Amino acid sequence: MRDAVHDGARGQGQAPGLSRRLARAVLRIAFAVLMVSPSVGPSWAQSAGEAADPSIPSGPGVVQWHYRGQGLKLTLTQLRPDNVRAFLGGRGFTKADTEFVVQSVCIFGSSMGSAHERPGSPPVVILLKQWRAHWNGRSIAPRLREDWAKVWKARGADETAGVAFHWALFPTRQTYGPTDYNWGMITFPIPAGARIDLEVHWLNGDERHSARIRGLECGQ
Amino acid sequence: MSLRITPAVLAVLAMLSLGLIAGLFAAASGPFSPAEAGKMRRLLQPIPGKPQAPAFRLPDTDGTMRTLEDWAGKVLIVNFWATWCPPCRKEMPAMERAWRKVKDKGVVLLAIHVGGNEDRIWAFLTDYDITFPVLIDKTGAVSRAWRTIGLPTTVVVDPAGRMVLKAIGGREWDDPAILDAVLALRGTK
Repeated sequence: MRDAVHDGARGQGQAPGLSRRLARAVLRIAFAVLMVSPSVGPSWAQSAGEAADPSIPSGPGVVQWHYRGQGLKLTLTQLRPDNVRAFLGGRGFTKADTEFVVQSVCIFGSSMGSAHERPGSPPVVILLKQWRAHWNGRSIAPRLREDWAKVWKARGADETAGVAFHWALFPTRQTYGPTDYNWGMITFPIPAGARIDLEVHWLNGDERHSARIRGLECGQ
Repeated sequence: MSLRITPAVLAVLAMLSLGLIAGLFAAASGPFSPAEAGKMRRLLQPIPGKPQAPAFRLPDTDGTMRTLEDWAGKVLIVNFWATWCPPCRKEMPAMERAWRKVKDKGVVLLAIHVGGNEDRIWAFLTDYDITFPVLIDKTGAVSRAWRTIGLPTTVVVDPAGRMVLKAIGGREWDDPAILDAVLALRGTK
């Protein structure tokens, strides 16, 4: 078969030289395409994942932490007491209830969900109940939606404000398909300005994962 | 041993090169090209079991009570949102663009605001020039009944009233891939 090709080439006069140049050009183009293609190599996946989530405000003065791995993508944003006061004041909370929140918990804004982008990828389940903040030698559980519902009931807070607060908190447990995510606040009974390590837990399909994000700082 | 380059060899080389490129694309992004992988970021998740959408009775921004039955037989895109939720705000312009594309095609886009505060909702809708129907779920009860856990969440209901597709988190709702998936539900029995 190869001989037949050789034989055929002989009859083409100038064609072999031209073809060789064309062949080299094709290969060069193919090589160049491979080198510049954004889909080749691990950098593609990394660059997609490292882009800051636009759902969280960013800019000068905004402090954020990012994590991506084993199906989870996460962005945490430091919220200062004044951010929290502005948010709660706008939702109908009394000044007393607003100050109760500001004085009793450290709050992070968050955007979290599945890092998977292909259909058929395993569901990612964020298990907020198992998360722990490590501070001052203590392991501290987050104050969840269910905990806050009891707080507002006990304080007799405005129902509309309580509803807004519930939905503004990150879900206690949520399952995310590929590209899914939620936005919400996470609260820990830790004083303003404290530096913590955050232990996060999630499922990637049937696999259980955890990670420790170090050096988070509560806003003050 | 020398290989003479003929048009036939050239063609084979070109095909091999293209095959190599395609193979590497596949290795990097699974069975999808980058364009397809990009589309996946914009697609919707199927809802297992296709449960019936729960009935509701909620006021719109004018105070008129609306029910699910008002849109019976249509494909419904139901978005659960709040003015204070950043990704909800971000996807609203795309929802409005989507609405303008599908409103005459048997599809209704409906936003349900979780929680009250009508003044802020009004201001938001005016600022963003939103023209699709917006209802207010003051207690969050309807949102819970629709299995919404976090914001934003959007559910697509087929003409038979079944919840068939879902997006947790924002999407570019006017993306052709999403609109095609929604329009394909028309006529579903």
